[in-house]
Amino acid sequence: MTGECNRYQMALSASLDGELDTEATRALFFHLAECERCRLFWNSSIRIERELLKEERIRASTALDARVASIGRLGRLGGFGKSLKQSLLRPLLDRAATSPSTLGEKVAQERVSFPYSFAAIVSILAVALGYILGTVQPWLENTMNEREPQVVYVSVLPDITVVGHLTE
Amino acid sequence: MSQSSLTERRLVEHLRLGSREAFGQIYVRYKGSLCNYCYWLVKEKDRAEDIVHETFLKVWNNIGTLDDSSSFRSWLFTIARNQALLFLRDRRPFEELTDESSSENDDPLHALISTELSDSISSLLNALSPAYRELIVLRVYEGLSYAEIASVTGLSLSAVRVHLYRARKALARLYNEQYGDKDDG
Ligand SMILES: [Zn+2]
Repeated sequence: MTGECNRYQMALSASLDGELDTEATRALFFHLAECERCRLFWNSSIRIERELLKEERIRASTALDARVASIGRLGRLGGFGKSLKQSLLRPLLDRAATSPSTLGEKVAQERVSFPYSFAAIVSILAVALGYILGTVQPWLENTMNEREPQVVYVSVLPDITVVGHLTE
Repeated sequence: MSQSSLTERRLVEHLRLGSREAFGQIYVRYKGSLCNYCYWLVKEKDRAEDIVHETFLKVWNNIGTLDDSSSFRSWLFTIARNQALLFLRDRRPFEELTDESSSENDDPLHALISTELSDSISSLLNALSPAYRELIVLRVYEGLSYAEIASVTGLSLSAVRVHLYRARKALARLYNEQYGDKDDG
């Protein structure tokens, strides 16, 4: 194969990808008209792409849908949440990451080195967070689900009958 | 105007503002592409899904760091790629292509399995070495432009062009061996 054919076949590949300008495309087709070798490459490449596109693709499972749907339910990891995590948890995480010991030793080390003042802050924050979540979480859920109709089921055993949709 | 008719750029703007509906639409739009791309990188469906989940978690938390909404797709695939390479790092080598290697004589065919083709056309893809296979997947399956592929892989535009040509050449060689056409040269 000549160096010229190499160049044309590279252009041919770019042409299949829609990445060749008009002038170069015209030159390519002039060459194809007179070069059987490059025509064979052209035909094979087109057939391969067609066959590849016919292949069944990998699809996302419903389990993945559910996992991704849960992202963002409590807002973004940013602002207060992020700074809280960085200021309080980062030192612990860093220490755990740099410790060469086994998991058991790491846990023991954390227990020994965990300062009481830090524990007190965490306890207060946990109580406060519990209170906030108790009041804010239902509101958050309602806000995020405001476009989703709620189905009301009335159960008349053994059948379940849908009698209407509630939207808030 | 319903959000479904919004362009991608506007969806990304809504996502920036914290819209979970926009997030959902972007997920629906890209979940198939990303699962397929990650599968071809790591070759395990469950791990591919873990990587896609991680990717969308990062999208949700870091959308504010994306400077240009029009480059969202490259940004998304770059995150997925980084996650996949992180996963692969300890498992099997992924020899990335470089701008320089486009002029060398390395063989795009994966030496170990190139002789074990089955009837399926996707076995041709398996016969390519991972970095070349990635380019074919990004271009042929996912429809990324050369500029987007360059952005995702860190290659130059001209290297993307050369490597894709080499990958196609290798595929054509295998295809013709498998299905009986003459050598294409
Ligand atoms: Zn030729």
